[in-house]
Amino acid sequence: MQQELVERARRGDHDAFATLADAALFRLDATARLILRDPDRAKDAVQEALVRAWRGLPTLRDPERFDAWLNRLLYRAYIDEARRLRRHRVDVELTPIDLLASDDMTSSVTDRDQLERGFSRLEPEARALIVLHHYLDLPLPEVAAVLGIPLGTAKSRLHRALQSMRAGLDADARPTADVPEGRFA
Amino acid sequence: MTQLDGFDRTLIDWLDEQAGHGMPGYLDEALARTIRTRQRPWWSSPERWLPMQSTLRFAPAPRIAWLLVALALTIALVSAALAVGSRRQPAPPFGLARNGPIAYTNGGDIVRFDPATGETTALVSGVEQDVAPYYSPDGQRFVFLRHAAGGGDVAATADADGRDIRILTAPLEDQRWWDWSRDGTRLAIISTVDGLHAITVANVDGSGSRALPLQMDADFVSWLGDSDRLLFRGRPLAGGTSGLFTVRADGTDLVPVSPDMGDDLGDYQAPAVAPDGQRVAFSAFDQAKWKSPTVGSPAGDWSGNLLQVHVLDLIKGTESVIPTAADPTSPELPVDQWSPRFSPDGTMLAFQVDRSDGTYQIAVAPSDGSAPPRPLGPSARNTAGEDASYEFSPDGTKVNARYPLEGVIWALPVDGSAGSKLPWDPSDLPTTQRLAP
Repeated sequence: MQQELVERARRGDHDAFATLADAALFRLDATARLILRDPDRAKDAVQEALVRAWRGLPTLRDPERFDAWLNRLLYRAYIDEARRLRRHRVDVELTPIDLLASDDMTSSVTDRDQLERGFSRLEPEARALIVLHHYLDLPLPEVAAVLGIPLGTAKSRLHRALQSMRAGLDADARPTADVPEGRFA
Repeated sequence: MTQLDGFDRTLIDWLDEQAGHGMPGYLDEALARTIRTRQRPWWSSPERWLPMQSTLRFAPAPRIAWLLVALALTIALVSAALAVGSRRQPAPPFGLARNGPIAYTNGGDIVRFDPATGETTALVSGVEQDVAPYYSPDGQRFVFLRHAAGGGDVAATADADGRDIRILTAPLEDQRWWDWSRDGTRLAIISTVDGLHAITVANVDGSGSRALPLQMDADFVSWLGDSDRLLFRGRPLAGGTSGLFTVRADGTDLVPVSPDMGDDLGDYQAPAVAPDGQRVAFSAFDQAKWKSPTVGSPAGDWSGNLLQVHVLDLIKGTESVIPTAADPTSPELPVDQWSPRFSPDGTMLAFQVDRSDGTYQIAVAPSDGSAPPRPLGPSARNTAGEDASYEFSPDGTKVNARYPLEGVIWALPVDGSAGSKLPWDPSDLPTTQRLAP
């Protein structure tokens, strides 16, 4: 079904492309928001990726690879977005559209805060590695293909990124020196 | 199955929680943009792969045809003698030159327009899709991308009249950057190899090509003047940030030439080497203060990351920055300036100026930073996902610029006077032949 839609979109059928975009939109938006840490920038990146996809569809060699190709376009779009973002860099809190209200919450508020800090400290490419592999559940060879880096490089960078997050969490968890009483004004 | 530890599980749960589950509400907005966007022609694809057809087959000629062949040879010899006699003198490898004919893509063929005569001539035509011509510094040949039916994307060259076509490379994925050596005998090419940008050096006589084993993502390659060295932006696979490197054309003697600016996203963007090989211009993000020339203090004071054009003198090691223009759409804000290109004599730079309202304009400025930028031509929308391309004319009086989203090409006088829209296929930037002054 998807392959047929891709073929039609490649031939200029915009309705077919709209169906494909609708099916992919949540995944693209969630990925971009996780990596860019800013819903507005994420929206810009996703829209940019969809424009690039529509423009470039006639050039797609293998319609079966549409999802992987779209992931790659999105990655390029949010790297471009991150580049623009640097001009007015602000650390914007990510605002989830609909926070999961599960009874089976596995992470405490403290864990989430620490993860937030550790994740935000990473460069966008490292965040992309983690999101593509651990959130989208893409196998590492596909993550490497999306990022345009060799598999070995993807492995080592993912390892370093996770290590960096763990180290950050460990540091955050370390007890700080007591502040002598009476020092605060 | 991968064994997950507690940290991994916590991370996955956190990512899932952060991602949320609500459907974004901007699909219609996005589709309104796509429906206004023109799809690319299939042959402009860097990703459509077909095997290369690099040989020609000749059918056996009947005996009676030999007389005709002999006659044709005689005519060809006479024509060749006349052509040699009237051949245009090669242009100098760098410096100002005279503007010659303009070659451009026309529906998969390469066509030449000669402003001196008003004539349009097909240079390379046939069943193959031939696109993106680019003249050599001496104006004697041009390189183009050939996408043959049943073939592949290869770099090919022809002489200035479209004859003597030579296939230079095996199929290369995503050929996105070419630079001629000053003597016109070699071509440096950026393509994608195993997911990384890589440099291939091809001999223009068709005798072979070689990918340089650099162990890094290598992009934006340029020959360093008339030397045997190449300059490029590289990012080592072993880690680290992007920087400028030089290397001999055979891949040996790799030398870093830039300090580590510590910013993998924004440093050393789109470097371009001056025609004499002694300076390199690039763009980088700088923490800087900027004061609007049109808005008084304090509203006009601005601090933050500025994308600026830098010029690094490779001989002296000194670096200068091109002044930043004011943003006519938001006078209190500076603009981003990037992707510089040198004029043929190296005295001017053309670059893209990105403004706060999402539009951009081409501007020129002296390459020594002695005067503020001068905007040229119309502004255009900066959302197409494909950057503008532009280059100076050989005589340095104009910048030819391609605006991809609008699908137009403008010839923009560098003195800021009104430009003219060129009527040709906007799939590629046209190329102007350099002629001896």
